[in-house]
Amino acid sequence: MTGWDVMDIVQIVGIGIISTILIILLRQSNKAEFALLVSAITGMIIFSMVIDKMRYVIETLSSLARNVNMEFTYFSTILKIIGIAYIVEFGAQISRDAGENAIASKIELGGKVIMMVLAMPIILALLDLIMKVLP
Amino acid sequence: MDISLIFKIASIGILLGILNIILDKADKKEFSYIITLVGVVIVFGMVISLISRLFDSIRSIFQLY
Amino acid sequence: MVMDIIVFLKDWVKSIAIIFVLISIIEIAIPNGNLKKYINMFMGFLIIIVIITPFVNIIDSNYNIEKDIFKNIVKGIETREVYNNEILQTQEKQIKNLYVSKIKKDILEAIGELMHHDVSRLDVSIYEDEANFGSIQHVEIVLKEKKNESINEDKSINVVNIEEITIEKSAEKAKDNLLQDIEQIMGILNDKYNVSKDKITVYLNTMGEGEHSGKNNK
Repeated sequence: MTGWDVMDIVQIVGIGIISTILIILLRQSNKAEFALLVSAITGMIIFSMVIDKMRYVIETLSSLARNVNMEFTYFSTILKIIGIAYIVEFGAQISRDAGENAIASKIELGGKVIMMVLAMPIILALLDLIMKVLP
Repeated sequence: MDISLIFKIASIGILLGILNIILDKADKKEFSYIITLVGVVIVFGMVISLISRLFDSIRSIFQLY
Repeated sequence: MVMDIIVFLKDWVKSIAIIFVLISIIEIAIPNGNLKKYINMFMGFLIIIVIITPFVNIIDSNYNIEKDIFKNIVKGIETREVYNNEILQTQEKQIKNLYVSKIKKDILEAIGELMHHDVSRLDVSIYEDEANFGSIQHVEIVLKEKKNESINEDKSINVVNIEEITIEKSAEKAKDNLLQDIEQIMGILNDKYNVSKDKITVYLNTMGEGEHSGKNNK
């Protein structure tokens, strides 16, 4: 894989199309579980291709934030929340593809609760802040 | 860790599908089920290192530790 | 004085601008889904914080939002740890009580029908240190003479002479009975539960009799 981004998107699209065709084939031969596995693996492979570029973007943003003197806590919490959102989205979508809507909802529930736990300190700090402004 | 993995999994799946049909014709349906399970386990084994590596890199990027 | 105000405004506008750019990027990058609304709400909170912070800095110049957030995080972790500890402790206690009561039941069954006494109380204590957790530390049994063996009030009213001999003989017989039963108990406990004789204490609950300790017998 070259460092050239345009080629990368062509690769990604190619992998996506090929695996979709393979999945149709597998569903036809009655092997739904393998279809699901292929779909999950394809998702993960594409994701890992993309993740290096994501790393670049995030580190740039992070150094930018540091430069501008934006507080560290904001940025790291946002980052964690985004990460959780990605992971949850991935897992929930796979469950939904297999028809298990209930499981997907439970995965999302887990994600929401954990995000709430992460965000709680900031929300409490915000309330303190507001209390200070109002006499 | 790239597209060859997808091909491997798909080929195992298709192979199992064919085995399934053959075993059905030979009237041994239980066999096909067991072999399917074995195939799924094998695929998991192939896949699990990829999954763990992926999640580790997500954790490191998003600083989720 | 004017410079101060200008610097203040500049910083404020800079923070707001950066936050807005950041949020726009994140809006695009977040996967569409049910989580999107959550994240949007959280971003809103962040915007509010960034906008209000400079004003707070005017009013109370020692305010540092980092400290506040950090304090809240620590408080959160402590609360959760307390929950975990409480649950763990209750669980452990329950398990231990269950275990001890099961051992007691087993011992009672094993002892079975003693020849001349009934078991009126049984206490078992177990080791709790790492080395031999769970093995029996001490067994305390309170025996009571079976009713038809004890000194029968009616019989002893008859003739004075015979009464004396009866009492003596009964006393002797009671002691023999007791020893016999103690032997039986200790034998069972030793075999089945590997409890050595010095860990067993047997009390006798009669009128006027003292205690008989397992130690005295061997």
